[in-house]
Amino acid sequence: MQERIVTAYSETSKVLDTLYKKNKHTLFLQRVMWGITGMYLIFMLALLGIQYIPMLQNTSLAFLNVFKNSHTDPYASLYPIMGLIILLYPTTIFFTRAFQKFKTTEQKTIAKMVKMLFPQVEFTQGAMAPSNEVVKSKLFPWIKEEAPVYSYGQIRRKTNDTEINITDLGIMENNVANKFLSILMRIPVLNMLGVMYQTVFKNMVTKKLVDNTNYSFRGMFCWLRFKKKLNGHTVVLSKNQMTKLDRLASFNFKEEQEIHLEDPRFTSKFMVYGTDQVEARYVLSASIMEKIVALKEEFDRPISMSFQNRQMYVAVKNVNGLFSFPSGKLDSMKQVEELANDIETALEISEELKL
Amino acid sequence: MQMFENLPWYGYVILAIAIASYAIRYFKIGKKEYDAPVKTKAKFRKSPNSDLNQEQLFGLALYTPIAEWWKANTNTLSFLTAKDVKPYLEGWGIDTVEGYWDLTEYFMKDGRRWYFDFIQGMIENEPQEKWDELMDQKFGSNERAHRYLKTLSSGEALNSLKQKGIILFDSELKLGVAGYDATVLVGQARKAYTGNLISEEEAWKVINFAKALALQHFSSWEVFGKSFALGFAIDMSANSSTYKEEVLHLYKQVLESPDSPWNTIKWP
Repeated sequence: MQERIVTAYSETSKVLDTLYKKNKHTLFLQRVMWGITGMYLIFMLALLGIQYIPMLQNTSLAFLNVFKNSHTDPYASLYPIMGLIILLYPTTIFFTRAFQKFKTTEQKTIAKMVKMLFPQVEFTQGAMAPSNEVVKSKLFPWIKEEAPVYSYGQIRRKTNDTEINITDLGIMENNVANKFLSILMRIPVLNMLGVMYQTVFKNMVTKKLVDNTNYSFRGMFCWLRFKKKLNGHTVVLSKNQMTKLDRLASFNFKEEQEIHLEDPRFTSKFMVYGTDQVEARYVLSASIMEKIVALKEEFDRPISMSFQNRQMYVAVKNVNGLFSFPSGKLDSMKQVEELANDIETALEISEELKL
Repeated sequence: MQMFENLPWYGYVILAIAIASYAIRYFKIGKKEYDAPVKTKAKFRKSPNSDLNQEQLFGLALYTPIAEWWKANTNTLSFLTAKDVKPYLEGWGIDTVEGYWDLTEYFMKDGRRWYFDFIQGMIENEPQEKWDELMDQKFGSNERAHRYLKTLSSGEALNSLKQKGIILFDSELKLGVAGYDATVLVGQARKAYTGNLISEEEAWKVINFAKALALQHFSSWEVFGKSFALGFAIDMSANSSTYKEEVLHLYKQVLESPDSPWNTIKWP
């Protein structure tokens, strides 16, 4: 594998450098675009404030009076807005073009790398996300078939008796945090601040491109056949209070109960929910628990999995995505190594867990 | 209206631009919505008087996605009424006995496989500079062949099927379009029988041929379905985009619904 990593890196290093530059350029345009939008929103808020809050007349905001409509200039309030729109229009076009170019190059580079690193697998981009598998996995408590799920690429490896699918997904789940935000958006004035934070501020300060800022989950999602026949389901989730709250608050898994297992190494990292205490222990034998802990260490990221009806699902969080590059410099072999390691670990899950 | 009376000159310009852009957008969206595919739910209609056996039902089931679009029964050889199928038979030029058998023989012997297998093989194995020469040698000025080349080389049909989740990997192009040819044979046999162009016995002969073609190439409904969808998407790429979208929408239901013949009749 090391040999393939070296070849893949040497074949793509020049493009990686170009990608870094393109990413930097696109991020700059993204910040400018959202900066102008932010200015527009602030201006609107200030204009509203000066009209309805008299005490603001005595502050530095009083200069905004020149933008108030009067008999001599009935369109005064339009000038700054028109100016901002004129600025925003070309910036949006420049940003969209730069973003498209960056994404196209990124896709091609990833496809080339995957092909070179894993010639035995099939790889596709631009295909529909496997929403039904995501729903069936029961790993995302709020998810519905029609929820926005985006696929950045999918790998499939078929052997005589097994088939594993690995995708890089971005999921927008209407979870507790997003529900709270949507309530906030219904409160006047607060909703303006919410938009300022959620859309403008976040997109200005982030190092991620705009397509990757609003996902509740971004990362690897795999599904493969599990040889044990199960009647119910067992879900293993990373230990996290927010995850627990989401699971309980969704009320979508009333049939589930928390499963308390004995392995302290496992229980310190994971919590388990299932429909059957006995079946959960049958699935999560001592050796499987040990291997799941090892798998988490191998990925070094939050990991969750579920087992049901001869199928196993694994989700590994990765804020940059599996088939996208992080925004920093891409001038080392580390990017290729990370990609190779993540895919290889996922492809070997079946053998690792002795499924 | 008083507010529009004392506008400066640029105010009228802005107003005119706003009205024009709104009108263009309104009519553009309006047309798009009018042409938008009707996403109907598959019903898998059944006649209570059917006495067909499982083998016969399997043969008919090959045509299910398109039969659903026509709202036809899934368990009878007859297909709606002679009046309903007349425009279809005329459209394909198979409203006479000779016309029907000419086209049926073509679909049995070559069908769209003749185009697809050669063109896809050429795209995969030959350098692009040689394509024009090879196309001329094989197809001359055949319009359909050149359309197939355009659709396949641009990835247009494959990308559209990928976005719909019907086909996921490029390797699935290897399935070819025999599934589509088998489907067309079944559909035309049912319609020709309903239009009194062929006898019941002749219709079953054609359907049995289509069945054998499908069984020879595919091992499951899922794989057969992908071949059908691929052939259908390429064949319909020139026009009929609304019809194409509607059939592909029904195709997904035929594949997934537990009531569908594809899930109630076992692939032999």
